[in-house]
Amino acid sequence: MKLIDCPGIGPRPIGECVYGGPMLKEPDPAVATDAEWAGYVFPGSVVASGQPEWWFHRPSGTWFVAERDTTRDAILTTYLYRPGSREDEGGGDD
Amino acid sequence: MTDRLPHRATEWIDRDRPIGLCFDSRELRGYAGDTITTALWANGHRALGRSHKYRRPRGLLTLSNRDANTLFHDAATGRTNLRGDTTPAVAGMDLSIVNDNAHALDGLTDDHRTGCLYATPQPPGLAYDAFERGVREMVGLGRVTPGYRHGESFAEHRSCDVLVVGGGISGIEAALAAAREGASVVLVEQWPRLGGSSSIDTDRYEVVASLANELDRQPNVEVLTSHTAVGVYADRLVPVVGPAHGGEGAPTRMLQLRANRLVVATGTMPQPAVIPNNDAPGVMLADAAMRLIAHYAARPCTTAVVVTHRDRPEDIARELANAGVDLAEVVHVGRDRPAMSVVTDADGQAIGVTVDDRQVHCDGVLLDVGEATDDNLLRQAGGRVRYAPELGRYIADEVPPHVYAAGTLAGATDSNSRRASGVAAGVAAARGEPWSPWADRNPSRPAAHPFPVFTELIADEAAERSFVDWDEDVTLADFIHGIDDGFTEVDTLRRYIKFGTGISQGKHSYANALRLIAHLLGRPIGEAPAEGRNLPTPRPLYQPVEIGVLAGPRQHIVRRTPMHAWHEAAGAHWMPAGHWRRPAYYGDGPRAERIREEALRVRRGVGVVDVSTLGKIEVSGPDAVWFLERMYTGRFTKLAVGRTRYAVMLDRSGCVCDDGVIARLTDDRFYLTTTTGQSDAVYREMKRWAMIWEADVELFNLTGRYAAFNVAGPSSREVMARLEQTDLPIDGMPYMGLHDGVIAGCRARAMRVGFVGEWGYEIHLPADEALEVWEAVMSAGRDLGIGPFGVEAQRLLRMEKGHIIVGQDTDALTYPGEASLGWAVKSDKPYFLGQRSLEIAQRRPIGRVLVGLAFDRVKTGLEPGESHLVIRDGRIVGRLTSVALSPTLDQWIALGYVAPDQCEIGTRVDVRVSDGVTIEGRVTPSVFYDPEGLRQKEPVHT
Repeated sequence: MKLIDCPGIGPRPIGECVYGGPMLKEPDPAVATDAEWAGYVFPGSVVASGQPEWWFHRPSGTWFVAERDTTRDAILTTYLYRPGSREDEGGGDD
Repeated sequence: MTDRLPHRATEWIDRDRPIGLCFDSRELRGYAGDTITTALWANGHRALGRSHKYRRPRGLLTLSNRDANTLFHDAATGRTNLRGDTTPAVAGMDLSIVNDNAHALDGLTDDHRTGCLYATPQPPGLAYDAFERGVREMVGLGRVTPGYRHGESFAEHRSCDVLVVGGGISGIEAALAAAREGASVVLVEQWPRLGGSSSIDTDRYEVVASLANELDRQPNVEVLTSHTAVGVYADRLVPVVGPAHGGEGAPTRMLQLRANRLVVATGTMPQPAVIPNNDAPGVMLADAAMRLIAHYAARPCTTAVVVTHRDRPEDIARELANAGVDLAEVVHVGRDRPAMSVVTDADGQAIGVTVDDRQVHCDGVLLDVGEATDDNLLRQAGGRVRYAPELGRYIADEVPPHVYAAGTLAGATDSNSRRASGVAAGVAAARGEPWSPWADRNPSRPAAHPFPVFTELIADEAAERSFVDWDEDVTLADFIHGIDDGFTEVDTLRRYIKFGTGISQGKHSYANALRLIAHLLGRPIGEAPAEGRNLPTPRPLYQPVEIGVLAGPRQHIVRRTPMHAWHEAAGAHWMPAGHWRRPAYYGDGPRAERIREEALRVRRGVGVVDVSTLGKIEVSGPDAVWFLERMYTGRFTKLAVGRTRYAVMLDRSGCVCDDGVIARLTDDRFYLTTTTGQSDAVYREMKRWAMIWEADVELFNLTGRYAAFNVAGPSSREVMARLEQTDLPIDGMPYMGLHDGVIAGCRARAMRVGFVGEWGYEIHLPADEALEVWEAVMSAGRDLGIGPFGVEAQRLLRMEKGHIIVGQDTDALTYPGEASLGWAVKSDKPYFLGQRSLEIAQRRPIGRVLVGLAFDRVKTGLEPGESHLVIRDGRIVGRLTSVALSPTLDQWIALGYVAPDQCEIGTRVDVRVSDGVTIEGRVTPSVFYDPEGLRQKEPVHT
């Protein structure tokens, strides 16, 4: 089982973590075309390296971001999520 | 014990502990410390197995579990395919050979050589099936013991600074060096004692013993002998298999070791020579013979011929003389390349050799023709090896960070350089310095050039008796034919003729196979660019492990509600619900009858069901309403304090993923429930979205903190009114109302609910006080006939009411409109999860609709069931999701999906039940019982 270096915690077995999918910016649902929205809901292409992903460390209840090189099965970096403004990251409706 | 030698300093057997065991119904005696193979050999048994395919008699070859010659069945325990070389002999064993049926395929080799099935068109029909069955009868391994139960096994998880695999001289030095640096060290050795190849040498044995003593004195070293590291997984997680603590019996323990640094000192594997009849009992590796003598004080043979690649195998000659074995001849290979073959008697046992037309009589042929590196674990760990022509074997070339190679694997040759390389690796590992390849500057022994293959001298007929892979009966002839058939790449030829694919995974065959292929094709061994393809990917497990050990103990998380013991005492029959266990129903006797009684008790009187497994989350803060309206499809702005509302959650794609009830405690404080299975996921998603949306909310997962139960039935109000309570206006509480107060002396939260379609209350309260209140409820309702009801009755009751269960009546692709939940989706809200996807989905025609179905005149054996298919014109249009024989309606009813144009009340639909029989169902309103909801909303007077 791999180790994952959880930010603020240190290396933990990956079994303590839950994968939360690729970290994608949600398009503005009021503006996005159907195709753009579908691309967000069902991201089709796998990025080999550096794609930020959501990971959740269950024992501590912490969401964090990991970037992996899927060609080498290596975790490049992990860090805590830093929210931007709601307009940047949120649903964009208000 | 015909072939047991006098005591020697190097021996592992305990002569004070003789043991008796049976082989082929004959009694024999051995000693504690013997393996099955050595006990049999010391008793004069030579034919210890038959080969997998041709059923040729086989003796011991490697004595290292690196061949499949010696596989046994133990009738005393029912264990089969025991590996004789390494399995300790235990008193009372009743052993037999697993492959001991007479052979039929030997002699057919010309027509039925390896690969013939690929090359021959497979004739269709029964004749071929019969042929295949016949072949399968004749080949294969041991028979399964029906009813065999693996004993208790153990799984442990540990970590250490430095893990050293291999307890030879370099591994010992590595462990000592790392320990002296202050690291916590675990040393794993597969044999019962340390020393590796040094432990058979009378001189070097002393050195090993003193080093082992020194190791014992290090408090930060743990030595695990009789343990095997069976793989290297990601980030150096190394499963180690061995006997239970302090034991010496069969492996029952799986230790999952996390090593910060890994030192691989697995040494070398001596290899056999490829000569005619080299598989006859009596032909063995010289290494095996040396260990038979040194460790087990067993005589390998009385007269020996040694086949060697060395000029003067003095060490072997000396040990043979010590053991009273006559050395009839030393045959030098490599330099001389004599034509030689093994001569066998009628039973197939070795009785001599011919060397350049001379015949030499002997009963033992000892092969000393070179070694291959055991690089299995190193390469699993991500290390790379290169072929070192001067050594005639592969050595470590590159290793990933935190991995180290030591000893012969690192390129060291003699004893001193092996020790020095161990020290270097141990120090570097402890300090976290990178590994550097070992440069053997002054090898004291000239590098050997093993060339154990005699291809050009072997005629075709003899090639068919010259074995390369003992496990799979692959001969030199197979290589010649396979290459003739066009398979010139190592990996394709490997699959075609099956070398290295047997139980020992090439441990005794791969080195020779590479040499052979290189020789037959006239190309050098290990030369780029074929390098990568020359070596197969080594995969765990390094050695076969009994599946019972892999499975380990049953380590399932089981969560129990505070009422668990009460349910147990009440005769609960359990069912799993996520990590929880819930009572399915209570009491003995017919299951259906008990469920029916529980359901009718709720309809007519009062029942109580434990719903502690529901997820419970508190959401508070200035943004709480805003947040919940984005997470759920409903509206909560106008939800009054002290009221609850049903809520549906969609996933990103607009499909139903959870439902529950949301209660408003104060203006900015809410309490909500989730389904049992989704509590963690809902909490997790809430945490994520709260972060992304920067919502000013606090989230608390109270699932384990609060227990909950439902008091339901027309008499529930009476029961609740009888309980001692304060601040809890049971009488005035409206339907879907909520109030905090004190019940039976405990702080509790009561809600008016109607999931099962009767007047009812759901009580949420701290888990540590729940049982007390539960019992108070039970005694308050005793004269009203109160009793518990289980999940089965609850499901039946809610079904009669047409209430769906998310996950049961929905799947991962169910849109709310399909499951009659459209009313709970407020599409005009500015935003909620799944809204945009749902909007797109709703522009397409709906695919299916959840309806109620009733079945008239159901015949026994043809009852409808969950997941039975709704069929129209031979095509599947839907399925049943919940089915029950309703005690209230006295009829089979179901919830299920039908085609959209079938949803009109009264429509007849075909449902395919067991054995493909079709029965007819009738579409009904999905609320079968009390459609106006009068029983849960208005007082009922019974």
